Amino acid sequence: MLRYAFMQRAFIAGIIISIIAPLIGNYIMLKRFSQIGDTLSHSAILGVALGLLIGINPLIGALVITIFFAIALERLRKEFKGFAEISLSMITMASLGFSAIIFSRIKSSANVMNYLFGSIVAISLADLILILLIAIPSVLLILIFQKELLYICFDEDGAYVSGINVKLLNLVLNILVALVIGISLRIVGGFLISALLVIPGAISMKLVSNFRKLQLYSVLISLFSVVFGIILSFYLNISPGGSIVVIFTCLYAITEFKKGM
Amino acid sequence: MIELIDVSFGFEEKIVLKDINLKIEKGELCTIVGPNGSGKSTLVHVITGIYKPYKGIVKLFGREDYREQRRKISFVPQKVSSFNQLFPISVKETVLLGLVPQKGFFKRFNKEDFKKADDILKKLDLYETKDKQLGKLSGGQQQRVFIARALISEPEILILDEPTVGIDSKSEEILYNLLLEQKNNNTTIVMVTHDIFAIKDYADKVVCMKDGEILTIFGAKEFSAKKYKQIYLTD
Repeated sequence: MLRYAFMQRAFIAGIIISIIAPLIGNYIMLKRFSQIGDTLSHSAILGVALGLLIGINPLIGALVITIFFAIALERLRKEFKGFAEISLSMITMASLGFSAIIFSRIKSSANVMNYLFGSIVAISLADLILILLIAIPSVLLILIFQKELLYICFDEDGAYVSGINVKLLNLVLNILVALVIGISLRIVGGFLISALLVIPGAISMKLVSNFRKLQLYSVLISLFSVVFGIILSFYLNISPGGSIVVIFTCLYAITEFKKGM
Repeated sequence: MIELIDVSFGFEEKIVLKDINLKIEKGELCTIVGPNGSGKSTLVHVITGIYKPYKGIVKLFGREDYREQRRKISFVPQKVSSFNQLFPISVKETVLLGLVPQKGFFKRFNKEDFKKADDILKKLDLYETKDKQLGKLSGGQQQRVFIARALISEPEILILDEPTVGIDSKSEEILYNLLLEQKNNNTTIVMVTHDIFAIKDYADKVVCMKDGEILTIFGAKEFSAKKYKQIYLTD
């Protein structure tokens, strides 16, 4: 399996993504804002559609559009203060509507399916380099802001009163989510990316009593599921996004069962 | 230290605070009392800067723009409304959050920080629980953890929004002793409370509120149960 160059690329990309997705996803989960993952992944699909339409790397299209919507989201949240889900729904639906129109104009449907549900053969060397270029500063940003991000997730008002720049950190977090979605698109696919952001943390929450362990366990769970999912995808010829999410679901069910015993 | 001049605040059309004038000097313990809906919590949210008044001036540390001084302020919110019991955070991690504004980006907590956390936890009789998940503690213990988080940074201004609601008498006693210690260290304390009689002898000011207005402000030792009744039960 590893003698194939595309599988080597899939594993490297998968491992990078499986580490940074839960590290960022845990913050949005704890802020009870998990739905942002779903919303921005739909924006990523619109970015892919635009990329395919105008003939640029769809991954770049996805990154640009998700970052744009991540910033727009903060503004819309202010417009609908207290009703964050309205801004999320609006961006989701607008993204899907435009994507549907653009996809109906594009001839190759196989390409589209790869971006919706992921593919292990689709990752080019250029994609891998882009993934690395995004992943390294993203990890650095998490390291720089980790204490502050935990504070705003735990008690946003308390953090604000004590001088933490809550507005800036919320924006940084949204952009980090946008970046991780953009680079996860190839492997997991637009429809399933939010699972990578949220489910490892949701499983880990059942097992841990502190935030350090939450980060550690969710990375391990994510790493195991992504690597195993890619292997399953190779041998069973199924979409990696689907297999990864099914493994997540099984792990969650096992954890619930064990806790109930 | 804290000064509000003709401050009014409202949510959309509804006016919640009307023409509030209040001055709290450095090292004073000021309690805010009044029936539900009188605007007590809103007042402390305006003092903290969480709510912006549509009229009037709020000064902290003698300035309207006190962004640079914010790290010298600690706020203990109403526990129940602010904390999700499932949140995966340990007692020690929670207390250390109080040091985040002083640490700055990229700096990790060091031995000195951990020692500070241990010391404050010992003081609040919580040291044995330091590795436990916060949500697994009793209500009184959780509230003490929030107070430990507020005190670890040795704030110059400490603001508490009903810190004794739903806590046991042991936690209450520990809290009051700690507040008095802070007061003696010259910390300015603003506290919304329903339990005014427990602390009235130590308060430098008792601000009585009703319908978004300050009815009266009592000075040190002026407040009594009789006066309280006169103000609120004469309607």
